[in-house]
Amino acid sequence: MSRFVLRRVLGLVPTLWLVVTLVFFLVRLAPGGPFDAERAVPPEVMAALEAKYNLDAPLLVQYRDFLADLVFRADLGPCFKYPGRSVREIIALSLPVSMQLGCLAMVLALLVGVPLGVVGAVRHNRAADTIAMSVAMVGISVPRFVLAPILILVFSLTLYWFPVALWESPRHMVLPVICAGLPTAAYIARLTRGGMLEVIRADFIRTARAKGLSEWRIIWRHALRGGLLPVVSFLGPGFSGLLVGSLVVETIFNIPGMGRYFVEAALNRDYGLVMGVTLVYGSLLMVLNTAVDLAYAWLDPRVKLDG
Amino acid sequence: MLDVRNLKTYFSTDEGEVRAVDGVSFAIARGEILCLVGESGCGKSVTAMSLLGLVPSPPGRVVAGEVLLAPEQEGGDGASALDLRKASESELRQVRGRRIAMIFQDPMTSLNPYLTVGVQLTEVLEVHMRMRGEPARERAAQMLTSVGISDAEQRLNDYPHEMSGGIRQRVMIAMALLCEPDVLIADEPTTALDVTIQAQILALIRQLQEGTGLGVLLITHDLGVVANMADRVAVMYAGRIVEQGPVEAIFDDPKHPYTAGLLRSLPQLSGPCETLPVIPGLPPPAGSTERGCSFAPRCDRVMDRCWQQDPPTVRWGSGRHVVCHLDDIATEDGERR
Repeated sequence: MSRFVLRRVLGLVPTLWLVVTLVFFLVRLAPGGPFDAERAVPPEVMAALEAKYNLDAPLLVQYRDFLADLVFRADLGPCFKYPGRSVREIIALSLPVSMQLGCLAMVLALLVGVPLGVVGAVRHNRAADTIAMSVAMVGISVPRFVLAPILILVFSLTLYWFPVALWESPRHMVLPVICAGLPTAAYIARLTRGGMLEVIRADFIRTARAKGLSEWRIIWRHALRGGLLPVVSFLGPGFSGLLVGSLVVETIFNIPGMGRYFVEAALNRDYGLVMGVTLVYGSLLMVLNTAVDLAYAWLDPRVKLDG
Repeated sequence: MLDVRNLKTYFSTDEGEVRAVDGVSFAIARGEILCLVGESGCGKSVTAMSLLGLVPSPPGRVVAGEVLLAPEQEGGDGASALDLRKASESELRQVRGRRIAMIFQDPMTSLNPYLTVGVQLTEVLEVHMRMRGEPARERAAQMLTSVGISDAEQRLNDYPHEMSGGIRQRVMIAMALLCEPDVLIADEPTTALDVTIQAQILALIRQLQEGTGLGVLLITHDLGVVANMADRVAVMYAGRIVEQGPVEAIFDDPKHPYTAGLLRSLPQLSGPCETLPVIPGLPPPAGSTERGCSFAPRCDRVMDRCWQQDPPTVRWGSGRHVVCHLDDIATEDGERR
């Protein structure tokens, strides 16, 4: 197992290099540049700016310098949009906020989604199943930008339970966490139900019944492990998506997270910032997928990790 | 020990109601092996599942009948038999695995792949005997040894996929017999195994059953198995038992044309090699026959009244009975003579 982890960590390096290289050239290929503004900038000013940020050098030279900075000093360069701040600073400030929101949202999603899915499977095609799956369907279909205003309208502006926006106290976190977590909860509920239904029909569940085990024990001890495998494989991409934040939730609740930079950086041609957020997301995705593989091997003894 | 009367299990499907088990009656005495024989799809397995209330519902439903399980202590406080059909879910759970245990056809899929064999064995003891920890493990290991598994202590830590099919079926048998049940239902326990292992497993069941008073309901489509194992035989066709009786009597002198046909289609090792006689046609979907004998379309001795009237149950001595018009005539003739 340690061999497997080591191999995966070593595998991260070439993959991330590929990602970095692709991003580097692709954003520079896109039309427009970081200093284009509505009002034309005098050519001398533009030249000075480009010289300052090393954008006038040949592309391959820029690439070499960028790689050297990244590898030897873990430096992603300056941020063009916010002068005086480096990309590293921006990520260091915003990523923890997004991760906090993402972790809470994932906990909520699992706590709501898994039980809902189990109920759906155990009471297959009965009232409880229909209700659980209708709720899940609504949860998947209602986009976050609709859910958020509804939550604010009801719980902030009408009931005055929670603040409208910002990320300061636990009370501030409730609505954004619900808003980020519920659609994921709905998705997890459907995955759980599907996985459980498959397992519940298996021969070994019939054996467990014939042994005289209680229904609760059959679900908990015999079915849940196999039934949760689809959820576990979703957690890799699902969790990394939540951790880096969501543009919609962060914008509506005015949360200083990282999600908004994905869009902002791309629109501003903020080369360094695009690189930074992509790198964070890519690394998280790969680390979490490795964790998922480990979890799989732990849950299903038939899975062998090739060292 | 176990007395089944007029059991009916129906399935509702898109094409209407399927009478998978349509009025089946049989009894298993203490220490007896009853073989339930029949072609695929005749309702053998559904019968077995119905006994313990394990028919998936919906779509299945046990609609009628009694499943009487004799009280645990024989002649004790005169407690009456428990009807499993009327029993509550919690009463049924106490019967399953403890008084009536079951083993299944495919040992590859019948054990939980996610749990060690030890966990799956000891949880039976935990649930039924309140036995946990080291004593439970010891008992489980002891049981594995008695079904012929060596290094039982180590094997407890193995997962099912680390074992061969034969060993897994031995584990299933060990699991079934942990609580010393009164009745063992074995649903085609050797069908998924290769021939040499089949013989070993059957010998094992026989060996464990002899002298213990364990009643066995052995479901099979293999008449060779029947000849080897059975004390009594029940032949099932399209959801009904068409002939029942002691194994020698049925093999020597089958009364029902279906039984006779089955026996004829057994390959003989001695004698010249000829074309194997078969019963023409396919069995009808279980319980699809509205009126008359469901075997009539394939019967080589079919008569007019077979199509119109339900065949009567004709009783011969020594617990033997046949459901057929032919035998009705035979007995009438006999009485007349």
